[in-house]
Amino acid sequence: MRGVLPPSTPRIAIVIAFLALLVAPPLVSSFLLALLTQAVIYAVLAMSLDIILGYTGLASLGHAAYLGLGAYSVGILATRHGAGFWVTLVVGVLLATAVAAIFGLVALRATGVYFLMITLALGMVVWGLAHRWVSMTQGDNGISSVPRPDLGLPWSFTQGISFYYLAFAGFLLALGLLQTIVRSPFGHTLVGIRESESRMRTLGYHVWLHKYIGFVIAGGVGGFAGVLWAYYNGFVSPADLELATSVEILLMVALGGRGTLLGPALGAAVIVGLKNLVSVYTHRWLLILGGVYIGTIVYAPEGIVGALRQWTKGERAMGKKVVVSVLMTLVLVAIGEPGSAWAQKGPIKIGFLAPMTGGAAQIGKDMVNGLTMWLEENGNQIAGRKVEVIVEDTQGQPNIALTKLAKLVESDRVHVLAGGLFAHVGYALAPKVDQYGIPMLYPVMAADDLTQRKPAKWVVRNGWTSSQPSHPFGEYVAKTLGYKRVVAIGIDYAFGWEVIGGFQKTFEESGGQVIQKLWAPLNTTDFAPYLSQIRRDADAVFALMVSISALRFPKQYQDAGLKAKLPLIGGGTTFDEFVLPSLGDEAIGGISPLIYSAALDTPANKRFVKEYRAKYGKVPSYYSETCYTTGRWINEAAKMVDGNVEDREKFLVALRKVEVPDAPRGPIKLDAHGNPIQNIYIRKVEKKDGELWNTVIHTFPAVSQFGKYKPEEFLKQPVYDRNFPACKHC
Amino acid sequence: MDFWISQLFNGVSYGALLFLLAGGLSLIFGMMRIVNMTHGSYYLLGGYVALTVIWRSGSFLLAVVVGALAIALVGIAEWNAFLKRLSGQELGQVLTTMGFALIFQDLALVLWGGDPYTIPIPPALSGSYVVGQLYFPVYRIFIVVVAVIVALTLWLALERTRIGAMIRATVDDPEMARGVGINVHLISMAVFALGATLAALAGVVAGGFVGVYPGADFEILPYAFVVVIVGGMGSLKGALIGSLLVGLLDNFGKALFPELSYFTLFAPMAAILAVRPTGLFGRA
Repeated sequence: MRGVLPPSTPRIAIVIAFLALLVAPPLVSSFLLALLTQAVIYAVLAMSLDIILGYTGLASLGHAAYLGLGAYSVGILATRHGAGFWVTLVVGVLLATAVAAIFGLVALRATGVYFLMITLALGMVVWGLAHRWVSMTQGDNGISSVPRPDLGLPWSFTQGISFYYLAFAGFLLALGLLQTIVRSPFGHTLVGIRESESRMRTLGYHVWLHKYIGFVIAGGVGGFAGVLWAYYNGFVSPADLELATSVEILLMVALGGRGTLLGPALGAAVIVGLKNLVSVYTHRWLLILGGVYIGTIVYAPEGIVGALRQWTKGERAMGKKVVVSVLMTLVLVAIGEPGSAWAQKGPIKIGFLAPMTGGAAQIGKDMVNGLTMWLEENGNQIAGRKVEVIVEDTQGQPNIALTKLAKLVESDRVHVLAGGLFAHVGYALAPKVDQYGIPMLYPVMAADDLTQRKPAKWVVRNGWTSSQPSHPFGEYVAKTLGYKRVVAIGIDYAFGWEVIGGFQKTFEESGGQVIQKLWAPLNTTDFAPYLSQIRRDADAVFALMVSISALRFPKQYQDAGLKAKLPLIGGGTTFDEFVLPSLGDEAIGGISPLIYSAALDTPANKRFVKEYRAKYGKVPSYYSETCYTTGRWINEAAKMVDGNVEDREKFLVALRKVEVPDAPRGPIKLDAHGNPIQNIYIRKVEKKDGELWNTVIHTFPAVSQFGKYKPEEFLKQPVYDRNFPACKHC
Repeated sequence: MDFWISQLFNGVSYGALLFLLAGGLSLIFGMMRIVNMTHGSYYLLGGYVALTVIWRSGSFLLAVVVGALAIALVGIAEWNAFLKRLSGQELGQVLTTMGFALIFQDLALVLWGGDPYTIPIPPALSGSYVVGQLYFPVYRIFIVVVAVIVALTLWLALERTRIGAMIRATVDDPEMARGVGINVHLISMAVFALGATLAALAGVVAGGFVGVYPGADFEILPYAFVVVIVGGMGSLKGALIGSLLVGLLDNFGKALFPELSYFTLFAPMAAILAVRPTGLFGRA
């Protein structure tokens, strides 16, 4: 028969694939190696889900919970208690198994769509804890700086290659275990249950117990994948546990082929590859991923392995089509894998990280616009060399940012990195940037400790620290505005803690009292539960909002009747130029400090605002300004080294020497710890010609991150935190 | 005391919004057993369409109507093209609807950009009623009123009309319904469209107070599911009580146990399910 492959083909293909996985890694680029490592870890997770989905016939919408349990065991034990690999491994797997044992009791009372829904609810329980039990999990910040594992063996696993082999060994172990299980009489019974529960029951099998044991095993192995994942990523966050992750694992299993173990492993590899490689070529990767979801169900309901089987049996032409298209994709991906040769005197490559999709996409656009504008004004040249900017989408999430960082460094071979949004992303990226030894400018990410107690050698901060504007502002509020009792409400992650902490310190030292502190999670939609708690015996409310929450808060504050009673002041991002156009009169009168205001009345800024508006049709935000200045910053440093940015050590030194006397935001130069000394503007929201502007009502010139304190004194206190400074007057 | 009253009000008004969102999802579940991950997208797209209408015409009412109807068409198209073939295949439904959710998310980003927006509300609905020390935002009262009207209309339509009887019959036993000559196909499509319409309506209404922004779809989706799970699939009464319960648990959880706020929301759900796997008012 034509088009039919010999029956031994699959087996030969599998052997070749395994040999390739064993031999190839030292030969591939480090970016591809990173993807392979992710793929084998996700393969473990997908295979574990296959036990309940493929072999038992139960679709679970909460499998990401076990990944999370394993990962958080590592994150918490390794960073806070210095636990080694074996301890975290045992705890992670046992915890996931124990939780699966409890969840199984609840979930297995249902089948079909109800099972789906119950597992969804249970998955959300674990996600909710990761997200909000901040004292245990660090909440939205996630846990960063998870060390690479130390197995007590003579060789280390800090290098990409050796860690890959560790993960691969884990994959083989999980595969062996699960293979043994599904081939045992127990496994056959599971399949029997999938085919017909009532028949198995009639035959005298304990159906529930078999399902239950399968469920618990799947959870335990899922936890194992979580342990590997945390060590690989060096970072754990609630995003790992989201509903979307659970659905993605389902897709991996379905795409590869349910009930085949190796199929889901293949599915995991395909999805990891797609997500990371497609986004290299297009920002529209979500569209393509969505298409893969639908295409899988329409064209390959039995998955790739199912299609292969049909092909070898010559049953249906469809199988062939699927296999061919998958192979085509893989070939395209392999060809497209950007070459690793890097031209000595080609263009200067700038790798730029910014959220281009998701809730902070507009901020990302402001950032890219800023940098682009400077480059276009200067003929796309830096120190006489052509410039190539490669923008990567972080989606505002630390996990994704880490993967994209690896791509920029290992695949694109950029000379210098810049960008990033959110303090917790900043904390997550810094250790990796140091590992790579490529200079990275932080124009936006303000995480205090990166230029204070945990300095990162290769991070050059040309933006600000979160608490920098808060220090003079605390004094200003107590002395000039004359408020004595203030309620603080902030977004519950590192940036919020640092902004409010800095304010509280100087405010209380100037005679004020913070009488209440309220924390709302990063994605809060409805502030009503917090607003009704605000103490009415205060003089003012200090609010720290970021991106989306800044849009909602002032309106809800007014509707709750608070604006008339308690004046609203806040951190700079509560009223920044990114949200002002979307706000109404409810924002008028809001006072906040920041390193920039678009209303700043200097020639440099007026020109900047005018040109920016002409080009992009909107008022620049501080995100635009800092990234605009970043272009100039890189140029100044590159000129100092005569354009020889390939000498990274020298280039880094130059980057730290840059001074900009006339940036739109005013003069900037770095202090001894590497954070800009710059003006802090106290701004009041006013309406001018029908638009809201941050009118500058006071300027504190040349403020350092330490304010009026001596650096050595200041650094003795811990970094500002949810509970530091303690709320003495609450 | 003030604290409890205002939190109670907050919880009820948030529950009202959830009812608009989840009422349709529950009907879809009950009738077609479809796990619809696109439901959050209807909510998001409804808000965006309304936003465009209000920019062009300035009419809030027109925005509500056009937003809701446009999304009904989207729902009908999706159901006809894909979902009706997938009855009984949970996995296929989850993955297909998830695919659509991702596509809609990206299309929204292309069409409306990444800016967060708030739907401008008529002056009559802004401001607050003041009772002593308490403030009750008019818009939140408006949401409760809309939810009550929708609930009453749905209840009357389901219990008192011929079409309602046909829908109930189809929920109870599709084969038998087909047997007695009910056009199950048409009824299913209508219910799916109704569910999408309600979700879009929720999106428009929510756009007036939490805004319309990328990511709203996946933020709200778990809440919609939880309401349906707790109330029981296919039960209007269940959706109503489930929404109130979730609204109140969410509010009091956040106010009283901030560190465990999602735990206090989802753990009682799991507990209810442990006792009644089909939810409070659901039938297996």
